[in-house]
Amino acid sequence: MMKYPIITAIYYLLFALATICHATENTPEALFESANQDVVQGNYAEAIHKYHQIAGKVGVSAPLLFNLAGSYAASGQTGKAVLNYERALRLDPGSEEIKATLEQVREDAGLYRDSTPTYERYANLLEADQWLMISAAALILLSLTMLASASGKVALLASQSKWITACSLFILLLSLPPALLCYTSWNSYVVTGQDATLQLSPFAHAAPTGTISQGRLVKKIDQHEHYLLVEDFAGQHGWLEQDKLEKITDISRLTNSKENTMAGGQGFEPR
Amino acid sequence: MKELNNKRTHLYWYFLPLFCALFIPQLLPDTIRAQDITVSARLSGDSFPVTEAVLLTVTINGTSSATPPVPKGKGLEFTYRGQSIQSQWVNGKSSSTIIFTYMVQAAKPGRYTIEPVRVGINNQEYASQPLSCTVQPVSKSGVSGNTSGSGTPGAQSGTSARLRSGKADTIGFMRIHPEHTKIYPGQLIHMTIKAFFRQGLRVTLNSSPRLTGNDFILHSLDEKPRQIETRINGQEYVELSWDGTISAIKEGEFPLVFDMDASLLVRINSQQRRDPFGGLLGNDPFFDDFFARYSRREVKLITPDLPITVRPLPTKNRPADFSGAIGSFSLAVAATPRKAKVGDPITLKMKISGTGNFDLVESPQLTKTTGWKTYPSQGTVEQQHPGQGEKTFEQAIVPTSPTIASIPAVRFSYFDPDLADYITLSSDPLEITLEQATNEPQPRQSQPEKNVKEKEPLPARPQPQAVPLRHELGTMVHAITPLYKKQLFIVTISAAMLGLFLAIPLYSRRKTLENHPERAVRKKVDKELTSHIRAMEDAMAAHDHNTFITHCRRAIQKYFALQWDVTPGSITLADLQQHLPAQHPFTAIFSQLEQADFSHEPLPRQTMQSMLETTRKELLP
Repeated sequence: MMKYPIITAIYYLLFALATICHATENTPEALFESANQDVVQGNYAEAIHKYHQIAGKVGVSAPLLFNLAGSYAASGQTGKAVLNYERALRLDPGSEEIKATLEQVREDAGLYRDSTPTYERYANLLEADQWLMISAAALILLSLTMLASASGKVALLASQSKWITACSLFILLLSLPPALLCYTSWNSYVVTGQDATLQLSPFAHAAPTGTISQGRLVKKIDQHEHYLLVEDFAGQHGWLEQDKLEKITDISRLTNSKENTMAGGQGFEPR
Repeated sequence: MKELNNKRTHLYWYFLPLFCALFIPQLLPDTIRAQDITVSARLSGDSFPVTEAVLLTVTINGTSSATPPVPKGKGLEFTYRGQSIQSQWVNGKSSSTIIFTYMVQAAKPGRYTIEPVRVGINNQEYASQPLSCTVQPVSKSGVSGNTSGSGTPGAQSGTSARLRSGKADTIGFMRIHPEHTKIYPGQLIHMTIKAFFRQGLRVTLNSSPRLTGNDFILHSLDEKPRQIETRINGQEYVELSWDGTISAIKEGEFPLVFDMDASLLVRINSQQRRDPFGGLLGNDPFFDDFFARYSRREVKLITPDLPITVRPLPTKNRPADFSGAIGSFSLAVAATPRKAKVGDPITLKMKISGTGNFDLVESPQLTKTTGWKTYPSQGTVEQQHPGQGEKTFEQAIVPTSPTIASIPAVRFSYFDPDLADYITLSSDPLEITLEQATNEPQPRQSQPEKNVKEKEPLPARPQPQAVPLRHELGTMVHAITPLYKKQLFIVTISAAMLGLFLAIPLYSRRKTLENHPERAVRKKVDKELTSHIRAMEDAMAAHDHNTFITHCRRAIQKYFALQWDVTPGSITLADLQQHLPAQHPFTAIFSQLEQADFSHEPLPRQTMQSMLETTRKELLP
């Protein structure tokens, strides 16, 4: 080998370049870009598999979940699509793009929401974290104003101080209740299973009480073995198999799923 | 006039014997009126069930006044129900009879003996014969035989007629009459809850009947009960009835139990009361009630366990579209408009009426959806009675193909508990007329129909929407955490809360100083005095008597300036001598300072030490 130093050098150079290229291909950014290309080309299964790989390696982000949800929606898996759009919205609560896309997916799947009371419509104007951020800002402003007013060190007129205090309190009162209301549904579940049937009791051969569409948001009321007693936001309730739904805030299935470590394969559904 | 008087006299003599015959015997002593006084006792039945009472009559012949004691019998309870007097005058002989009536009850089954009733009349004692009676237990299959024969067996029959022994049944009891005792999970069954309270009790219901346990769901129950009076085995009861519907949650055999709270006004036993008039009022029931004392008692009526068998729904022949509806239903379908264009929505109205669990009745489904775009249906329930009514579904369907000639049949499946089988209802297809939606020219009539159909545009295949994508990976996280659990947020909010809590004492201190400005001045002067004392100490250490004199003088001036409310510079030795006592140490110190200042002679160290100590002692708090 050493007889041909130039050939040896070229060989090592090529090996180094290949290693670098391989490393570049395997970075999360590269995989993400590759997955996006798959989506554009209509290879949704491959794209979903790659998004899962990224999630398994470095976790999730709002854009990753957004693209993953889009891939699910395009492949007809409305439940998974809604689930991941909801997750993306939790991470990026201010994104109008995510909200609009989620609404569109719901509309396309016929997942219309029943008319909600005015206070719920008001609370749904913003996400829970956004309401809490406003509350926190109002509290900080209130605290600073009262400190300044009490110490007398800051030149603040009494009338100004009163106005700022009153406004801070008003904003706090307006933003804290919707924040609390929104957080009650923070840990909701999304029905992801096809043909999800609500049952009267948590047993395999229990009588069905109705069906629930995938993509519906439900609240967990109780659990018995691998059955959850759930209630949707229209009041329909029944027992549902645990495999038929996923918790919005629990991304462990996403980050620990088997196919994250798989080199390829047919299945991309996390089990 | 004279004639009239004669007539009156005649009438007087006519009525006098009658008056004597009626009233004089009442005034005569018993010994003169009658020779034989007897006391006898009789039971209306000598065998009766524990849930009933019999009447005891104590008859005293030959006297018009007697007060017998309340009869006694171990294990028996006697309730005075009244008395009656009969008087006869036959062939110049009077006879009177007093009859006392008592209600007799026993707490438990057994053989009982009623002791002789002893009555004292004219210093002689008369006694009735002892009586025996048998109190029978309650039979399990129904109300036991009625000895008096006045019961209404129809009022209570079967299992629900079983009266529990025990104290509750002496005041009332409650029973359930379900429509069926073998049902299916989710099946709605009607039931009637009946509560019986003994006539004459003053009862207040504190609650409606409540379902106990978690095996059944109570769907409906009358808010107010129907009330009738009924007679069961010779006993008068007030019957309260509620109609309702229940369903079972799961399969198995479960007891159906209801309970209800009530308050009773219970009269304390009249045998034990003391007559405030020492027996003057006798045993008149009016006075009994007047002087009776009542106490309020809370009671809970509980129905006996009524086992309900909940059978599993058969899996055999279960239709795929079965949603859990159980009952007996019929299906009617209508569609509007029947003439439309491709792409126009048609409202499909499906009405399911009958009896059953409408909660689980879901929309009928189209048997074919090819060529149709369907939207979720909305259902509304109109119930005439609990479990009976109709549920109407409206579903928007859109024809997407012009070849459609009819709306496909819809089907609805339910389980009929009477037939124990699944029933599937199917509607007939509804014919519709579809027109072309496009503005393309209509084909000429001369063209054959086949060609027309060939030229009709096929429904457009929906183009796949572009998937919205983001190209920046963004900040990666390993968990979706709400803002309130993030560390930075917690720290920030804690700081804000701390600031709020700090603001309170600060605000309070500021207000105090604003209300008492002399405290601020005093504080400021105290600080300055401390500063002067320190300067004096430094000057003494450095043997700088000029600095020492300056600071000592200023300290004294500031101290008294605060007290006398003048400027410090204006205070002189003369002022001190004028305002302070002659022996005041500051007069001497200030004098020494003046002299030293004018003479430019250094103060001895001991003098400075003495001045410093005096100044420190007097000026500093």
